[in-house]
Amino acid sequence: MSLLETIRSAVTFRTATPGFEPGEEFTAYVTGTNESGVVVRIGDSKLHIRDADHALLDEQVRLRVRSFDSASHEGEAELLSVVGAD
Amino acid sequence: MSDQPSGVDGTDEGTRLTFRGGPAASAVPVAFFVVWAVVQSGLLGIGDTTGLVVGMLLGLIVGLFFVRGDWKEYADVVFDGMTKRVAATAIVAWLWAGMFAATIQTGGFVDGLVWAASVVDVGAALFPAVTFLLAALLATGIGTGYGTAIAFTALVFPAGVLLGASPVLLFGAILSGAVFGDNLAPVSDTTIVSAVTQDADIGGVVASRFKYAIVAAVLAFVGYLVAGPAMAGTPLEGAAGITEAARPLGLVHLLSIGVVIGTAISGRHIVEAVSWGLLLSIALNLVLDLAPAAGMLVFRAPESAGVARSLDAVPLVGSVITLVPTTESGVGGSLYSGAAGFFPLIVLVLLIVAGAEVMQRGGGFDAVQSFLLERVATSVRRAETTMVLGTATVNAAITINTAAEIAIAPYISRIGTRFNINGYRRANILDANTSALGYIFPWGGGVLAGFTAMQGLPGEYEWFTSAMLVNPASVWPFVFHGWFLVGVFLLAAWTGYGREYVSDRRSGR
Repeated sequence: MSLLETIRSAVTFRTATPGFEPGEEFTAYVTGTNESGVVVRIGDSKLHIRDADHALLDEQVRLRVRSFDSASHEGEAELLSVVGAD
Repeated sequence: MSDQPSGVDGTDEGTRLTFRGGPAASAVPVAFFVVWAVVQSGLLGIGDTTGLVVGMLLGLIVGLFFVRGDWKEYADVVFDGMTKRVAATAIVAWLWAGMFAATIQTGGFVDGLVWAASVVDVGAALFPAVTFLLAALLATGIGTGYGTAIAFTALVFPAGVLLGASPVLLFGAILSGAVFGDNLAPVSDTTIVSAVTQDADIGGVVASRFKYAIVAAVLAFVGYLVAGPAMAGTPLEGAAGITEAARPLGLVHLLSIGVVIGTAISGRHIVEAVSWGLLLSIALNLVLDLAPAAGMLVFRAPESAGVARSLDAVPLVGSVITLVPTTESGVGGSLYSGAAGFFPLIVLVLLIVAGAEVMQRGGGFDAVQSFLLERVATSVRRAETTMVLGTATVNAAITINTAAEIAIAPYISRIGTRFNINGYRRANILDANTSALGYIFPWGGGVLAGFTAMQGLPGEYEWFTSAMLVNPASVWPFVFHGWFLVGVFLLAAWTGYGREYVSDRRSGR
């Protein structure tokens, strides 16, 4: 990405509740745990990864979005790999 | 669901400390230092970094008496803190940046800027606005706002006062330029610390922060354009004296600055980037006769040393050896002074990181962090607002902005990653407020650095009376760029301007 493109891509008014499309893959931190697995909170949106180990908390993971409800800003995702902590 | 924080900045390993009075008592060393800093520089007006070092040393000693159990464990934690990579990385970069800044100043770069201002015949009304731009340019190039505040107050400030510009507005414009450079320069200590602590590359951080800096700078520039004519007085006699002495050739160091900025933004390590700029600046100084070799490095050997007398006569080698009385012996030049100027700050930062490590291992960090995450930063907007106000508050209390930045950096990282806020964005929030607040309040290191230089002016110029000195307590409303930068980030937190998430793109060193 060129410097100009980097600057252009960064000049945005990003929502507090970003949306995601099924199949979308990216890296993010695991930010919380619950009874069924772990949660990846991105802004005020949440993606739940069921049956994931609570030890993943604070780790960076690669994940794929399975579903996302743009009304509640919550969705489901699957774990692809563990990238690691900071 | 519970978004419970665990661990401390991702580092659970290591000895845990227990304190009398609970986890809050682990904050005693850092709290002692903050109180010391406020009293020393805020109340007593003493901008002495080594004095702050003593404050932090005593804070660490006082902390000992709150430890339950073996004091050796406390001492081990102090050692662990002082050997953290974050401090070492910043220290290496400061030393390189310090040498570079001093070397281009030795080569007359500031002189060149003064010359440029004089040839376009800037009057009293425009002088503060132009000074802001030139100070911003210098600070961006050399990466040290303190150096800029000192150089501009010593060289440009008297010229502006002669022309009739408002002294307090002029001092505010100089400090604003220092804020701009401290915030944006790839070789700035705050830029380096913000990038390193938020796991982001320096080039990417600089590119991503331009959009905030430029908005604040445009507003500040307009502010100086409006306030300049409104606050201008009448020119003093002899205004031409200072500017006539200025030479244009020092402007060639724009090339050295360009090399550093270009190399850093292209993703090369900051040590490599500054090394290239430094070598070029040395070459330009020698080839264009901007400064003698001894201006950059000189061995002041005692006259009694026989070997020194022999070497003094040798071509090339002799140019950096001077024979002096034994009592005056030592090493000097811009390479020496540029690096040595950071020594007290380096020691201070090592000790503050040690104090922060004590707080971390004692649970004080967990307590503050839990409070912020559970009670205050409950949404991404509130999280970013907390990050902005948190950095601003710490920097208002701790005078050396880099030290304050290192102290607050783990909180910014922790709160930010809990909302998957990108490292670039976290680094930008951290640096902007750190840079701004360090130059606004009268006890800020940048304000005191400039004021110290200003106090030398009555002795240097006959016409400069002590009535022309600007009280540091009166300049805070006029550091426009600093205030606008904080404002831009508060607005950015609420509107999402420039916000990036970890999922958007990776930032890496």
